[in-house]
Amino acid sequence: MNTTLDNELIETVFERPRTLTETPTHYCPGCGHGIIHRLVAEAIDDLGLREKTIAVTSIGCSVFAYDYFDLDAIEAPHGRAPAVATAIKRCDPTRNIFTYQGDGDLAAIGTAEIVHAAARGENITVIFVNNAIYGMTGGQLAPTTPLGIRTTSTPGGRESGLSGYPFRISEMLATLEGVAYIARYSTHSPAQVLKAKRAIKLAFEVQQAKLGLSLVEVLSSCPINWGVNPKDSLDWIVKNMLPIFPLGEIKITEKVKGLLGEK
Amino acid sequence: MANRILMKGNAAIAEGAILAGCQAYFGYPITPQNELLEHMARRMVEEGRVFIQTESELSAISMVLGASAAGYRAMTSTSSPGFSLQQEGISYMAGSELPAVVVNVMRGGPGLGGIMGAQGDYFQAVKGGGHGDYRVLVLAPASVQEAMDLTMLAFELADKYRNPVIVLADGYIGQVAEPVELRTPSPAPPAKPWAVTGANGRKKNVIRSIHIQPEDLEKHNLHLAQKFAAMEAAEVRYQGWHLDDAELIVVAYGSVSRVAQTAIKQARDNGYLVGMLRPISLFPFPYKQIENLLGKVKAFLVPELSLGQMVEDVRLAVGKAAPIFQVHRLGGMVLSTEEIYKAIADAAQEVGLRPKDPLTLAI
Amino acid sequence: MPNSVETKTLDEKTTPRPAEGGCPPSPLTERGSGGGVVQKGSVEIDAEKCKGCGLCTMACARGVLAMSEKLNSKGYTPAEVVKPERCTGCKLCALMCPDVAIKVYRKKQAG
Repeated sequence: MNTTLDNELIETVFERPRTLTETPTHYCPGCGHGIIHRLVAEAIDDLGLREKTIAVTSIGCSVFAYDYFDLDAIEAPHGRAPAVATAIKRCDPTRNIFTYQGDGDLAAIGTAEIVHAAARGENITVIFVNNAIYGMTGGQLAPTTPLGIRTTSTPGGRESGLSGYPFRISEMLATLEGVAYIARYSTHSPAQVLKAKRAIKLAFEVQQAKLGLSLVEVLSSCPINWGVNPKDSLDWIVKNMLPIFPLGEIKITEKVKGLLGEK
Repeated sequence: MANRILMKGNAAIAEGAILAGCQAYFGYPITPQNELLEHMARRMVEEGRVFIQTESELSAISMVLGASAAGYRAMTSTSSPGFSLQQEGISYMAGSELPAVVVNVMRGGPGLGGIMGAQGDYFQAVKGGGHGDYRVLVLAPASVQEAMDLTMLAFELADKYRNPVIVLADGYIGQVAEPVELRTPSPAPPAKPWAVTGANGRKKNVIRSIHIQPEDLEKHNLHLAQKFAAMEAAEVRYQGWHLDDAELIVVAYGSVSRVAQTAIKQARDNGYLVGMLRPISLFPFPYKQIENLLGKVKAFLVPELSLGQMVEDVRLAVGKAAPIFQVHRLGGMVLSTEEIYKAIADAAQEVGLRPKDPLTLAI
Repeated sequence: MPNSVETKTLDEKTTPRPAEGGCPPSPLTERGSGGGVVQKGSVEIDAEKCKGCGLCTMACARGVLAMSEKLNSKGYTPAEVVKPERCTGCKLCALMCPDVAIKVYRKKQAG
């Protein structure tokens, strides 16, 4: 109840989007998944796409994402979501398909599938949640883990000689002609959350306009595995991730810009 | 006059899939089934259906999973090393109750092995090369016509049971060319209200294989077990040849059964009472049909292009009731009629079977 | 190339805080007909959904929210509204809430 306001005409300016279910999530306190799920749901509702959307969920903390979206959903094997999504979209191009993948799913075991879905220019939308660590399995090294960071499989801190360097898969995918739009935003501030939302919405519009693959990478907190509290995890993103993963548009074709111009 | 054309086994499988209404094909080149992929590349596009040459067999089986989940008849084809990669996807589809047709045109192994035909993937296909408790129907064609027909049947059975079906051919069936009658197209598949098509005016459909609570996963496995039991009860397929008078039975499948047929004919010409039981379904295996022969059959001969894999299923049916002889070629080598004939003759001698006067035999 | 880099973060120490004893009215609040300040927005926190992460208290620039001492049924100490009169309905708290535990209301504009 909002009886704290005077009894005048009031409007709700923020509530749960239709496409997000009431189910309480299993995510840790402060985990970015909760924010990002909501942004995806909002974008789908803003564009009226719920009833033709199929979510392709993946393996990671978000493995139960299908419980939190009121959408048809298919669980893909680890790393294969872009292939699963490709098939559904090719069979029925009128559907709205997105994958929801973490950094292990997309940039480790699934590297081939995302590269080739992008190379083929599949009209799917990829939501790439980058928290620089393997959350579900308890905090191991990820392809995006910065040097020096301790994980359970780099207990002394990531060393390039032993474990290589983190890499920017979004920038790599941007080199492919089949990609129409790639952007990277974050969840460490309300301003970034709003930018991420706009990017996700644009990504779905890119799919509707059949312009090619759209991908939004969102930097996300993993307080438990980073060993910090939720508030400090926002600083962790700024201090450890932004120097490696710069924010903003990474690729935007003229046609996608045209979509923006039409607004 | 039926419409018969000369086709390679690989092409017949492909065309059979199209006649069965396969709406999506995803595959990766690998010898000796490349003609299957190439036939699909041309024909699926002609038919306005989905064709993708994928980046790997991992991707191909995942695409089959996706198309199937969306309610479409989908298929992939590969050979032994690629089939290994696809085991995870097959396990996922069995767990998610998704129909699919997976064609394995077997070649010599293990590892990269060779490119000639072999039968070394029997265990993998029949006993489940993927993880977890699941079974899949396995159909083994012995001719190009059968390759087409069993592929068409595979789609039907996949939808019937909501489970993957494997068409297990060896490289020789894939490569040989024989006259084939083009069958009439299959009727449309049943409606699939469980498919993920977009939750338009209905509750959402979720297709997954994870059941994180062990109580739930146990229930799910028991439910699947009922399905597998139904498959075992209803889907045994085999061909019997001279089972009525045989004292020695050859159990063979795929291209080996063709060679065995010639050897058996020669043996019968020379007075041996030999017959053949040819499993067409490798799962479910015709155990009962073999058991029914015990008593009057004095010996079994199991020729395989492997170190002996199907022989273990024969042994399950026969037990110690009769000796089981084997003859093998490996690495892509073929068994010749002479080799099988000699094995028949040797086995007969071992168990004291004398050739009968040929004039008293029905030929 | 990315065209904007966000380097500022929420920080309890640097975020402007209202002066002790209350602020003079800002453009975000109105003067009521009696000359007093009238709040423009309000939030509702579902304590059972809240996991006590605290991101909303960081997002709120006006001290409306704080972490409660009480436990919800899951054992979390949820956020709660402590200074409702200062709420402008800006939604920053709800934007940061991973559990969609916050509903935000605003007075409709006149006319």
